[in-house]
Amino acid sequence: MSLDLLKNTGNIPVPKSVKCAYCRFRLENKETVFTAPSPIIHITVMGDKVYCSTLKDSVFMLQIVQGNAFEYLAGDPQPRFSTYHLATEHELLVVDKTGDLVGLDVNGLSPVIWSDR
Amino acid sequence: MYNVIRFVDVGSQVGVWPRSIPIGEVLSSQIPTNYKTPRRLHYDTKMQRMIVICSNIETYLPIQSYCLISGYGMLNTLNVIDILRNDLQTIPPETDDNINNYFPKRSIINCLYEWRFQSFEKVFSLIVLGMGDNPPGPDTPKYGQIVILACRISSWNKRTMRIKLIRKFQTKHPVFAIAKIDDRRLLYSWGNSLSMITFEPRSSEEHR
Repeated sequence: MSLDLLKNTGNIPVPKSVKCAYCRFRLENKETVFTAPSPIIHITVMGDKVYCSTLKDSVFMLQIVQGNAFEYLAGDPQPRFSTYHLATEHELLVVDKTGDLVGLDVNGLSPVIWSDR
Repeated sequence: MYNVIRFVDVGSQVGVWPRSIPIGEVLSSQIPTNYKTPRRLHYDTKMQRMIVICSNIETYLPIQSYCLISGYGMLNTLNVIDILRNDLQTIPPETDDNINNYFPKRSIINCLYEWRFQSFEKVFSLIVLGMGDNPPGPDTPKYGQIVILACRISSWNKRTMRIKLIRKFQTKHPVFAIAKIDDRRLLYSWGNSLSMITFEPRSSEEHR
């Protein structure tokens, strides 16, 4: 997964809200748009980190730098089978193509060797 | 034959489990209930009710219910269950003109999220639905939308739900996932992209 494919694409038009009777608050779509190489199927937010599972490329990690901007941090270099992940305090759990459970370190998405613990 | 949702207890005190709650009765007899497929489950912490999103791909005539039939026979229904009483809540037909846009044609509900936030003295609890078009053919454009609903239990009948459309955002691609960033920001994916929905309270002067 290259950084070029994950850059922020900027001012892509965003949809507008539909007016309704609820007016104690305002809900708005922000203009920030982030584009990945394949559809993002699952999202987990932990602090200022965002973990995304995509249809084809397993997991990558973003950071919310300020306001609505994202910065690409790291991705799992090995494509996995899973379009879903389970986030714990220390690792991201995904399933690979052979059905094995794989733990990825939440800070760098490098595979965790469980026997070391 | 009814579709059922099965529940089991997990914890120190376990009742007579597993138990089954039929979910087919929410629709009128015009709908063959055995075609309903539960796709998403969500427990609403404010209402203390289970929300079940069902879909099927059969074609039926339009009915007076909380659903809409698409040209391709996609039927989405939102069922609410009181799991403590094994009771299926009823959702009366809305008079809101926007009712036909809740579950638009060709769309299927991909995800839902309970979004709670405080605006001045009131805590709002909204149901956010991520939807995407499901037309046949690989080259057909697939759009999506975020639908935000307010759900509450009727004050005069605890077995009845009141649902109101709050906002709707159209997207160029199907919405697949929703996650909360903080108390005022919601993150969602549409196709390969990410966007945010922000909440801004309005002052009482602005409200008027």
